[in-house]
Amino acid sequence: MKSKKKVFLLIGSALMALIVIIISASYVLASSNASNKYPEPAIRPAGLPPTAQFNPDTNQYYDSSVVKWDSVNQRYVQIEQPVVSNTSAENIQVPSKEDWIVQHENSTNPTDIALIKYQQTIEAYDNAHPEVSLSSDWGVDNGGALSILTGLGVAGLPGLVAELNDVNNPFIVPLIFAIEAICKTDISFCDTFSPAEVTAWKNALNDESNNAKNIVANVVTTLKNNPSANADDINNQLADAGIFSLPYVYNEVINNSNVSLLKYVAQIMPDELLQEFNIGVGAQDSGAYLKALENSGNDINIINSLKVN
Amino acid sequence: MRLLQIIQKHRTILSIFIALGLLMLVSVPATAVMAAPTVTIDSPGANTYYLVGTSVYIEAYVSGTPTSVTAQYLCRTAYNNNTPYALSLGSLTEEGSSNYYSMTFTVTSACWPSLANYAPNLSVITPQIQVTAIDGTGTTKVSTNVTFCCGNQSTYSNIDSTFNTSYYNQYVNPFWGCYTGPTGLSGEPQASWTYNCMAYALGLTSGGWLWPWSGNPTYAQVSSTMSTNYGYTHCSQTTFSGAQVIYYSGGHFSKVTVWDVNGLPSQIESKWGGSELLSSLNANPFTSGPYGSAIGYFSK
Repeated sequence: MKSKKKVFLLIGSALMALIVIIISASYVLASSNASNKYPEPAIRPAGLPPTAQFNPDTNQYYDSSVVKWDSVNQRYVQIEQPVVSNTSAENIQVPSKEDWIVQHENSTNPTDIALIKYQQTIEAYDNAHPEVSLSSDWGVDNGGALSILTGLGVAGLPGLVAELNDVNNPFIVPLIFAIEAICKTDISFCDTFSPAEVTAWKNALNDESNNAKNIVANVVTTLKNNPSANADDINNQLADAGIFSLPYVYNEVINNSNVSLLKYVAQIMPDELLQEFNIGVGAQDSGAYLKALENSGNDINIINSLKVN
Repeated sequence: MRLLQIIQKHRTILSIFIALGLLMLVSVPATAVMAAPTVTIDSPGANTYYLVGTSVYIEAYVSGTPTSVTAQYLCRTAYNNNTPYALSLGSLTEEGSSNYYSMTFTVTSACWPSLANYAPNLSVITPQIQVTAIDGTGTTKVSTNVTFCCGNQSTYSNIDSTFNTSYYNQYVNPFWGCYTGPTGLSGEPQASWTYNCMAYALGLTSGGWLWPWSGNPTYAQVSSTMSTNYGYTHCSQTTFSGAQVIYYSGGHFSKVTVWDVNGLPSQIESKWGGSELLSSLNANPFTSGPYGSAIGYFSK
């Protein structure tokens, strides 16, 4: 009996000692943690936003409007931010590209056929390249798909513009990229392709078309006053109107025999004519330029009647 | 005698009560027989996060003797919120005669299912696993919210070196890397095509996908746009105190969330294209991946 009592006493004492040690250790740890707190610097670093808050646990500043400090897990966690009203997503009424394709799969319209082929090319590329999901770019030319639309050329412009004017078309982004490429313009102020931006883009395209006559007239005057005017300046002026300057250049060269403009036509000539007459941008073959211009009548008719709503 | 008198007096009312009682006696068992199966999903638990390559165990209790128990992945978007796209996952089989049905499938591809096929500015809202049980009397559909991350841990660490640290433990649920926060729309999961890195870094997520260039711009192009269009007055190719936005050579933007004691950026958050909004434990963590090195720092 006595030895049993001894054993109990021993075990009890050991347990008590253990508890005392654990409590002491936790106090020591707690006090050492407290001493690890960093003092906030007297001078706040320059440029920090007003929402930056000092973190005494880490000796850092953090944006308190975006993250909060989780001292238990020693990490910053995202603050549940208020729901962002994504107007473009909430108000979107257009069908998905899949639905649009189903609706148009039997269409004989060349633009519809091109858009379906375009989407199939994009999907095939994206499925084979999962890394595209990381891209910030619009990805409109994945797998070279945009060439299916740009390949329609000036003859395809009315069809592309008609699709762009259809509010139910889910291909607005590639359509704008394709039309810009065919028209050889660089309006480039669509950051998000929101409906307001698309409207502004259409207005800018119409402005380019409307300004083309004046641009060509200015270039003619410049070259008349100074036949050795800086070629880059002339090119830049003509580039502002892209292929919309072609009808007026045609008029000057063919009807008014003003050949001083000939060497500048390469950059405003539709790609299909450049290929047909084997003209490379920068080439100086006036004969080829002239032939291409002489054969641009159909394109000019299309360009003159093109209107984006 | 008195009881008989009462019955005589109110026999019409009594008749109605008796008729109703009989109707209830007949209809209650009929309703019990006609009821569609009861379904309770035991697994996955609500709001579980899965990395690519992980197995998803679906288990549901289904009452009665269903003729079919199947699972679907429900994909709602802003466009088809009321009629979600349902991707079939297959049939569940009964575990003995327990009325518990189960199946396992593996998350196989990034951003699954691919959202790229949808129109721009659409993304999945509240992805769900749904269990559908059918018997001779009806169909019951029950669903639970889940999130599929866009990659596995090596996918993330190949892009962001900070994901190699033990901080990101793939067995912690939710996976912290994916659980950075809501990405825009209410109930939206972390991966979305609603907006991109630039929109998030500039605090313009309501504007949608934001990319004013074709391809990856240079520092000069970015600084011109940032100052002219977005009011960032301090632009530099080297880090500086109070920098709020960083641009990376591979075409990527981040928002600075933590600065060191000298005010230099030390942690960031960024939206990885159509993938998740992710936090990084370093301001320049992408040097070995496609996003490249930090080449532009901006503040207002």
